[in-house]
Amino acid sequence: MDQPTELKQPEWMTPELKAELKRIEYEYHVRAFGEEMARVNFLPEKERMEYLYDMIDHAVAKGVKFDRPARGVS
Amino acid sequence: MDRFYESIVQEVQDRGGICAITSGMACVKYGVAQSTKDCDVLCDEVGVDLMRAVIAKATLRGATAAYHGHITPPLDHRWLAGGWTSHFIWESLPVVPQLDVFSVAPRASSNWTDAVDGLFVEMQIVAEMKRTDRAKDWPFCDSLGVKLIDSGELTGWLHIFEAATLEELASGVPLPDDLLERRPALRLIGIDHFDLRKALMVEQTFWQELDRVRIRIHQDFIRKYMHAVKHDPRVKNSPLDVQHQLRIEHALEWLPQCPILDFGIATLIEEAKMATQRLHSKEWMKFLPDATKHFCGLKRISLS
Repeated sequence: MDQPTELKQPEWMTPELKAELKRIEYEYHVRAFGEEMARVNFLPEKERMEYLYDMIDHAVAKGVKFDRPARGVS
Repeated sequence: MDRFYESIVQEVQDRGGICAITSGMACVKYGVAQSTKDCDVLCDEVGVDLMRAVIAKATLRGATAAYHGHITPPLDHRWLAGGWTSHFIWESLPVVPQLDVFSVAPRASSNWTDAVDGLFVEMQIVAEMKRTDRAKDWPFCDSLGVKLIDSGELTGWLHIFEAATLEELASGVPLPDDLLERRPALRLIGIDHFDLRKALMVEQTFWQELDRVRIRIHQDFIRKYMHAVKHDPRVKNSPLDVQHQLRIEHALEWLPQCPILDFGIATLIEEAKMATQRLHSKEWMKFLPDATKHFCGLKRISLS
């Protein structure tokens, strides 16, 4: 059986550009979401989810209301 | 909670419906964390009927689903295809989960049913849906745009609204002519930093105004519907299937199927442009994109 292969990257995606894109992305996350969430966003999916669950649990324990009103349109 | 929502979507998919998670949960999946306990789900026509059946029997820690408030339209494709959203909650839990179901992805420029990847809708659709009237949603557009480019998709250029990021990307990422056509503001990259920032602000204002007009058009009708549901003595404490039939009864009387098509897409866009021009000035209007294709999937279905 064939092994799954990674999606073919376009020619313009050099390893140098790939690294540069990661830097640009990380720096954007720091500007937009702050240092802590930037770090969380770059965690592996499982750890990222666990961090978020902990955040929500902590917020609820402190009395934060997450409820949002229905309005019939999104 | 996420597992609960995912199991609902999985069951609808397994039974043949096209269905996908979008918005906050999708952002988390794609590596842009958002602390949300709610779930937004897109469903096609078949998926809507299946979703209703799956929701009706889905329990979470003993709690069963209910329509959220009197305002919620029925989970029925005849209204969802016109742009309405159905909201469900599982009451009597410390943190009340909310599931929003819709058939039309707001602001999507392509058919979302062609962009489903597992349990989630693809980044492109999520990014377009995040162009809302709420300031908090915009950083998710930029983040998803960069992620699209990182995955080799040049359409990521369409979703980035921060000048510094666009300018950094331009040093190594190709910017094809067709994307410049679709988004004129991108022509200012490398020409003038402050003009680029201004054009991006104008674009953002335009999308926000477009969303405000879209929501207002719906709200003009929802009040009478909500009033009818609220004052119907048969609604209170009735099971979900009875609630559903009653909501259809009131929707037939009070909810037009597709208020946006009734209002007119061109009129809606024009109103948003006029508001944008009030906030900025006429010379910047030439940098606005053509929004007409961002109402993909809206339609009226026969009521019979």
